[in-house]
Amino acid sequence: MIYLLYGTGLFLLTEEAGWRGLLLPRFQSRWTPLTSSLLLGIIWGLWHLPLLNVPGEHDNGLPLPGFLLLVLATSVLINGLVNAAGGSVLIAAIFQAAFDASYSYTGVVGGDHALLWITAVVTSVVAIVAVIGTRGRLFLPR
Amino acid sequence: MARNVDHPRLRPAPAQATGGAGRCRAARRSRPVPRPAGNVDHTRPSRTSTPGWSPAEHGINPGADGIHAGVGTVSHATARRSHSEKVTAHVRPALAGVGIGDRPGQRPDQLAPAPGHRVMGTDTVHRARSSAHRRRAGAAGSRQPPDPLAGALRVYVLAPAIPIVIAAVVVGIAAVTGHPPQLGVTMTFPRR
Repeated sequence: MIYLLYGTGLFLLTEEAGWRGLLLPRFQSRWTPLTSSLLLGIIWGLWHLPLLNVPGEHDNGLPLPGFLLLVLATSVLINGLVNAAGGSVLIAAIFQAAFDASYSYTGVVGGDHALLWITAVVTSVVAIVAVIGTRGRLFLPR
Repeated sequence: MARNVDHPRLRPAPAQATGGAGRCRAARRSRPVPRPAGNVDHTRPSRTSTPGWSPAEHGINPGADGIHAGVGTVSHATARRSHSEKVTAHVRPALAGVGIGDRPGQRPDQLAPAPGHRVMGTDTVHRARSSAHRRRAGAAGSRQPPDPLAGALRVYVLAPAIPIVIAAVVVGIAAVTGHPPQLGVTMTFPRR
């Protein structure tokens, strides 16, 4: 819970201010919400790419395809929530803090790569359901 | 029961209503974009008319005086002249025949205009138009407006719950498939 609060404040002021505060509105004004989410997911994944090769890092050694799949699906989910909340960056920070806290506590993103793949697939299924359920709009008002 | 339609597209533009000088420019700015209206009373091709339209197919009907402006399709010249003359087909929305309660597919002879009004169009009721009326009726009637605070709270509760639920599902699947995770792993510093 402490991490959740800490992470929310941290992500609100750092990453999410850029991803969901700056880039997402511009992307969605040009492309569909789904395309915007996938593009943002790719950028987001590339941003974290160096951590996969830094010894001692939590993400070190994770398989790149699985990691990218997880980030893309998570990007879709976060963008849907941000749209549903009227463009709130705070909601993205809360989600990402909960994401890190829960995945870290349960160890699903760690040494066992099978766990990462299971997480990526389950998250992708949820993201696909969100896309189909909103007909690709991801709660973005028309 | 068909009633008068108080639709924004059918209301007269402000300048048309007042009839003041210099109304052309003001009306062009303020007037809503028209669409082909089968139930609008046209005394002649107006700004809503498009070159190529025919009176029968597009509802360019005689007005209250019963005089048709022509029987041919609308020409470019006529449309332009009508535009500048500002023929105001929209000043008589009361003559439109489709109202709340009418259903898609109804023919004009199946509509029941309110007393003193008549059906002007020749088309059947369009689904979108009828739905719009139903929505407006619902908004003005018993439907409660959504509570924005409750909606926002729902999203803010949902946001942290989604990854927690996903993590729980993953732990369950992993345990079944022989990859039990090591619970209690903590981050000393956020990395993602």
